[in-house]
Amino acid sequence: MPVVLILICYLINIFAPATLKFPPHLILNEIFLLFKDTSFQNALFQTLYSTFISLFLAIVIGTFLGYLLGYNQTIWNLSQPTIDFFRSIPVTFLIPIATLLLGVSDSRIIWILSTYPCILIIIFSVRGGITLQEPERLHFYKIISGKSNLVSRFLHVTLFETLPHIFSGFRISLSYCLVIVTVLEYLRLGNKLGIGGLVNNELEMQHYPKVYALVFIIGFIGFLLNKSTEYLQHRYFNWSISEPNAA
Amino acid sequence: MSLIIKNLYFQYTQKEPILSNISISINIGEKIAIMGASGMGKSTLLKVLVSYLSPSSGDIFFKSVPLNGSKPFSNMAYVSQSSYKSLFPWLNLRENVYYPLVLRNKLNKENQNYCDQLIQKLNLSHRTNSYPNNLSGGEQKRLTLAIALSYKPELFFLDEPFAGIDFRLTEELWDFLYQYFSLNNTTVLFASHNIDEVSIILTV
Repeated sequence: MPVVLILICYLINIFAPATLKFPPHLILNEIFLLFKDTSFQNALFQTLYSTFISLFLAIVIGTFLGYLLGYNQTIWNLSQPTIDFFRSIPVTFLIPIATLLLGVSDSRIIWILSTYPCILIIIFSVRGGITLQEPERLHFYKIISGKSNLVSRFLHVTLFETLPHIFSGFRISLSYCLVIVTVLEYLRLGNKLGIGGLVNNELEMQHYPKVYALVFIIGFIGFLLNKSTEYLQHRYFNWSISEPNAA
Repeated sequence: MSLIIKNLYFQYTQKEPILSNISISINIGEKIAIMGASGMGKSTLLKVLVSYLSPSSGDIFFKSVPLNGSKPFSNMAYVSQSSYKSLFPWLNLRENVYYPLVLRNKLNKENQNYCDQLIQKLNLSHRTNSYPNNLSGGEQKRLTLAIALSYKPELFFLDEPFAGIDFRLTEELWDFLYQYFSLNNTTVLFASHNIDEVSIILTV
C-alpha cells in the first residue's frame, strides 16, 4: 500500500496542474495537524457514528429479511423482481425523494440512504448462507438431538452456518457504507459536519493539501476497518470443512 | 422383533422406483449387512430408514414406534460415507462429542467420562481442542463415530462409513465397533459393497 500511495503522489506531481502539486511531506504535515484539530476529530466521530448506525440498521433489517427470504422460496420468488428493481437504483437518485420526505438537514437522511444498499448486500449474504447449508448436517443434528423443530434447528445449526456469511456481508457493507456516508456528507446532507463535509469546505477554500490529507485519512480508515473485520472473520467465523483427501 | 420394514417403496418424482417392495425384520442386537454394487439403492434405503428421505409408501417400525415420520427415532445413530459433512465446524473435537448430550440435557459427570473414554479409545485424545477442519479424513471419520456413540444409541445405521480410509485404520475401527456393539447389544444395519468389511461385521 505505501508503494502505491507514493506512486500516486509521484503521478500527481507529474500530471497535475501546478496549483494542485504538493510535496508528500506537506500532506503528511497536514494529516498530523488535522488529528490535533477538534473540528476534524468531531467530523471523524460524526462520520464513523453515521457509518456504524447505518450498518447496524442494515444488519438488523437485512438479517431478518435474509432469513425470511432464505427460508421461504415463495416469498423469495415474489420479492426477487422488487429487489432486482431496487438494487439497480443508485443511492444518489434517491436523494431527492429522501429530502422531500425528511428535509435536507435531518441527520437521519444519511442513515437511511446509506442503510439501503447495505441491506441488499446483507440480504444476499444471509440468503446465500441458508441456501448453502449442508443438508446432511441438518439431518445429523435431528438424529443426534432427537429434535426436529425448526426453531431448535435454526438456533443450533442454521445460525452458526450463516454467521460467516452474515459477517462477509457486514465486511463488504462496512466499506461500502463509509463511501456512501462520506459522499452524502460531501453533498451537505444532514445537519452534522462529517469528513465528507470537511472535504467540501476545504475544497471551497482551496486548501488542497488539506483535501489530499482528508482523502488519505478516509482511505486509511477504510483500510483499517476492512483489515480489522477481516481479522475478526478469520479468527472467529472461519468454519468450513472441505472433503478430506487422506486418512 | 426390533426393526420392521414393511413393503417399502421409494422413487424420486416421475422416475423408476429405487426401492421396490422391501420388507425386512431384524431382532434386537442383530447385525445385518446390505450388500450390492454401487447404485443399487443401499444408501437410499438407509436414508429412508433414518428419515432423510420420505418413503413413497410402506412402513418402518422400531420397537413398534413408526420411523417414517418427519422426526427420526430419538435413540438411533447414522454414520454416512460423507460423514465429514455432518460435523459441527464451530465446535472443537471434545465439544462435538459432548454435543448430542448437551442437546439432550444429559451432560453430567458420568456421561462426560464416557465421552472422554470414547475419545481415548478412538485415538483422538491428542486432538481434543482441534476443530474439525484441522483434522485429517481418518480423524474426522473417528470423530463422527464418537459423536454417534456418545448417546449410546440402540439402533445404528452405517453407510460405508469408512469409504476412502486405508485398510489398517478400517480394521481398527471395525474392531472397536465390534466390541462396542457386542457389549451394548446394539441393533446394526450397514451397507457396503466391500466383502472384507462385511466379513468382519458378520463375525459379531
